[in-house]
Amino acid sequence: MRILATYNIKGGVGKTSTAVNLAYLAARGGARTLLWDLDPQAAATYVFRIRPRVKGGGKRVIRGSRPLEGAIKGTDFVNLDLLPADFSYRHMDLMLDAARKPTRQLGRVLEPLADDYDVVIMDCPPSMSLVSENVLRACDTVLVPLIPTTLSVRTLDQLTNFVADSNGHRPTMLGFFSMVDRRKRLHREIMQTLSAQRHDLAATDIPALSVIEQMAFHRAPVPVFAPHSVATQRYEALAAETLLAGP
Amino acid sequence: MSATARREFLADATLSRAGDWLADTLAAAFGVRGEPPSAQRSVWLDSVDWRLLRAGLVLRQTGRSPRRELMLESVTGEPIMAEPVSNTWPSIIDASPSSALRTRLAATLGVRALLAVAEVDVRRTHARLVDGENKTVVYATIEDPRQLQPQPALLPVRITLTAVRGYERELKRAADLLCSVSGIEPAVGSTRETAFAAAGRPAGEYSTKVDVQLDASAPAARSVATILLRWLDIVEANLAGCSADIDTEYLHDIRIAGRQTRTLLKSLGDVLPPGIAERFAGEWRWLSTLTTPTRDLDVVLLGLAGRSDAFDISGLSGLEPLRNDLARQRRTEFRRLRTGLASPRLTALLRDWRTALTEIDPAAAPEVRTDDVAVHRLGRAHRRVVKNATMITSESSAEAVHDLRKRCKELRYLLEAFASLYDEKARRRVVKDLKYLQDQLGDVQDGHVHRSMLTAFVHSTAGGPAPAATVLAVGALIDRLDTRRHRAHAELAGALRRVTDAKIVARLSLRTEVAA
Repeated sequence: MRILATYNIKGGVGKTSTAVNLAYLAARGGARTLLWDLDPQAAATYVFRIRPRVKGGGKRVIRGSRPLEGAIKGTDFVNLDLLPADFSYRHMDLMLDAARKPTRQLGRVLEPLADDYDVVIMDCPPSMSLVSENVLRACDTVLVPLIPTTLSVRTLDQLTNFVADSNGHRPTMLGFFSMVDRRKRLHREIMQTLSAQRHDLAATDIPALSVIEQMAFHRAPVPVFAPHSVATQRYEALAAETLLAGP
Repeated sequence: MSATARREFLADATLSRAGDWLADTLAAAFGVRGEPPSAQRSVWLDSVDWRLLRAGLVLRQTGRSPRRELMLESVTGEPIMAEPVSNTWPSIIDASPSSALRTRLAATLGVRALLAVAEVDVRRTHARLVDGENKTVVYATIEDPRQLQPQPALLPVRITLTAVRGYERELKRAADLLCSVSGIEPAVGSTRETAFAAAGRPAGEYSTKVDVQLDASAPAARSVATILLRWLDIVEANLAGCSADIDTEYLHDIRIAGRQTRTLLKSLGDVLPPGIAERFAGEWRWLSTLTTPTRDLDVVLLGLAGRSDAFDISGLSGLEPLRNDLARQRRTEFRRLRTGLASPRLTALLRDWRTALTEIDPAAAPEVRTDDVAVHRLGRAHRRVVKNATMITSESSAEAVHDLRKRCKELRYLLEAFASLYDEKARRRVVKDLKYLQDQLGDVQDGHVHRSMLTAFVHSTAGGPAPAATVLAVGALIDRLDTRRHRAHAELAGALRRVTDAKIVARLSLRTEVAA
């Protein structure tokens, strides 16, 4: 089971869009995929038309007193399941803090699913908290969407330093440019400069396209309602680059 | 991903096959999103004795010519392998072009042919049941199957509801709605099983054994008639397949049933009303004589094709002229056999025999109980085996070996006839010992028969002299037969001890326990 997370301290950078589309493409490629919506805003859950409520209560699931398995919902797509968000996740830091090893709790509750899924993608809330520390400890790869601005790129540095300073498990950090507007000179220059300087950036970028915003209207991943769009092609390229496609 | 919850239902004939009622019923709680129906033709294949099913396999041909495909699945529906197919059925799978699927099937089917058990056209409609968010919560599949072969029939419409993971409550709701419709019942068995039953071939039901439960205290005449009727059923069940030459085992089963009948007539004919055994013994002998040449050639041809262990053909080449000559002989003999099977004489034998057995009046027969007869005749048959066995030495003639083999068969057939009166474990043990001895005797005696056949071929000038390579290969075959015959002779002593052992008598004397 390979665990990935889409994470950024900032909100509105394309985490959920990336998580939803990559999860869909992984499943379409034959991988048994689970998307875990950890964000109490429940945007990924909404896209898949699933009620944002964890059966048995989010608290019990996070604490491990109820198996995660019972909270999983099937989506309308083959191979793709979802662990819905729950409004109680706004207090997830407190829930995790009550656990015996607070920074490892999410990884621990995922362990029983190791044989059931090939890929797990965690869509994380925007914050730097106990939740993010758990995610960083649990996953193999962290995908960091970056809007090509100077400040956004600092985020990747901060995260990388945080991971480097932590003990034990260190996931691979992979940034990618998100919501790119090539009409903007700043976007073009930052992308050109950083791509040449850094090795922790994906070659694929995701443009700022209205079709991606339409996901919330269609309540489906982009490849479902716009299979031939540029957005679909970019997400397919990103999926291929992050080794998601295929079983 | 965990297993999904699922419920299946059958709609009886009173409900419209159009299925509108289904959408109307489910619309009370769900949005119903139907898809255009699709049609698929399936032909399920197996041997007449269900060798695939017994091995946990299901073979299905889908599509239509020229794009047909064979799909091998487990009985629970997991795909195993698939490949295009061009065979017509029935067909010996060994005759198909070599492939992974053919190899897998041939290993299970052996010498038996694949037959079309049932051919069904299924019109399948998929629908999604959605909740208020337009989220799929349950998948519904409606299958409308129409059987085409062996006879046209409308099979019950099957509705399968499958919950999307996490929506088991919605599945229950949909199932409850369906159950509220008069004429909907929870499904029993699969479409495949329903089709098999409608085809008159309930899955797995086939036996060439006397699977009848005898009443130990019943008049022996009635029990013997019951057993003989079962053998008659087996003869009749195999006649069509034998005449159509589907595979060699139809004839083999007819011969076994015929031999069993003759043995019982000889050993137990006196417990039937007077005159019956005498009247029919000759006719059953005639049937045996009619079938012998074809069967002998079948055994040799199967051996030469490597499909039985009659010969060791490993490393031998040049046998084709021999195979061709025997196949030609077999065609000639089979024509004679088929004529005989279609003759008024056989029709009269089977008809009159059934009438005679059905109308047996125990009051007109000797007054003996079934268990008394079983113990007496089995004891006598065993004594005969022992008597013949003690006279066998490594120098014994083929005739003496043949006599002992017949005595063993007689004992074994009686054991099979009265099987239900004996402890199964003890009986199996005796049969196993007998079978081992019979195999050794068979190697000795069949070796003689096969040797004569091979020698006759080498010396035959009818088709011109055989090529040198063929003569050499046949010579090697004869050598191997002789080696095997000598080895079997050497092992006879041990095999004889097993059946002349006093313990066997004890095992055959369980009647009192059974009766108690």
